[in-house]
Amino acid sequence: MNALTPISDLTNSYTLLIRDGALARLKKLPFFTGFKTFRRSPMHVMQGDEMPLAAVFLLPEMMEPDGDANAGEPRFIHSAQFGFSIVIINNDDDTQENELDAAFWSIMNGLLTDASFLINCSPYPTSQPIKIEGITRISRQHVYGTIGKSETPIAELRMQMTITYRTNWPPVVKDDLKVIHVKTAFPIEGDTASTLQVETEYDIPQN
Amino acid sequence: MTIDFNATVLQAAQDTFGRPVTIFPIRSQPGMPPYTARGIFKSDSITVQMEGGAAYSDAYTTLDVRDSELVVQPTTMDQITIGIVQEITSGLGQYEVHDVLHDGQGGTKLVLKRILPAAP
Repeated sequence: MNALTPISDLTNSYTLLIRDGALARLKKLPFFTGFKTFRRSPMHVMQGDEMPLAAVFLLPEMMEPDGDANAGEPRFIHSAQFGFSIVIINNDDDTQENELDAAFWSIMNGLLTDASFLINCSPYPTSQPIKIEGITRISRQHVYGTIGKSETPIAELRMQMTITYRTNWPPVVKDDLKVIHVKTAFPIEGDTASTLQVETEYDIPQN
Repeated sequence: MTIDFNATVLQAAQDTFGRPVTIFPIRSQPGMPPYTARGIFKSDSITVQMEGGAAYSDAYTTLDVRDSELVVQPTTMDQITIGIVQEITSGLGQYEVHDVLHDGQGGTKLVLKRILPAAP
């Protein structure tokens, strides 16, 4: 789909927001101006009339403990892998490679030098900024039409980018301590009626 | 007794299924003009695997020619125009020879790639 269906950080993971943020920024880069199709899901089989095509797919995501896993609330460092698929058509093998390389360089420049991508990458309104902590791995490969079997002179840039960010999962406390009711009973084991007792309530400020 | 496969089978096959083609001998005979020939055009559906489990629907397209009908065998980077025969218009267009597969019995399968406008 060329138009992205908005999602929210209240219903979806930051990972998908990062993916959509990457794709939204890709669409605005000069290199991708003439591209017919932009995708974020590999579900539909691509057709020749959709080329040239650019896609950002979610690949495997790993979550590892942020600090001691057995102390405190669950905290994770996410390592989400994204696959960039840039498919072009060109009969000239030299030009094919130049174009794929230009696509790669355009993504590198377009995303990595865009501060907004790192600070608040979501293309949609979110309850808080979606921050990228680091880009830990990038790999790329140029693939040429299944080693010559395909009739269409397609060539694909396959680029994989691993992005890390953190989440923590504090417990949801449903029985908040809101009020403390105090009533004295002095003296202990004595005649409490002979002593003026104190009875009061402390209203605990809530955030 | 040896069977002349080229004479008994390939000729009959070309007589029955062959389509007119024009071969531009760009690499096999540089500088020479295009010439007409015939061949059996075939296109099979294939699915090309792409990044992230995506798939691309394409075709594996070939032209079978009879070696004895050609003075110089076409080779890679030569170009071929598939012409109309009777009412058959499928596959019309300009192709580049991407691979050459000899069958050892007088026939050659030319693997074709379409020549398309660059995009982007």
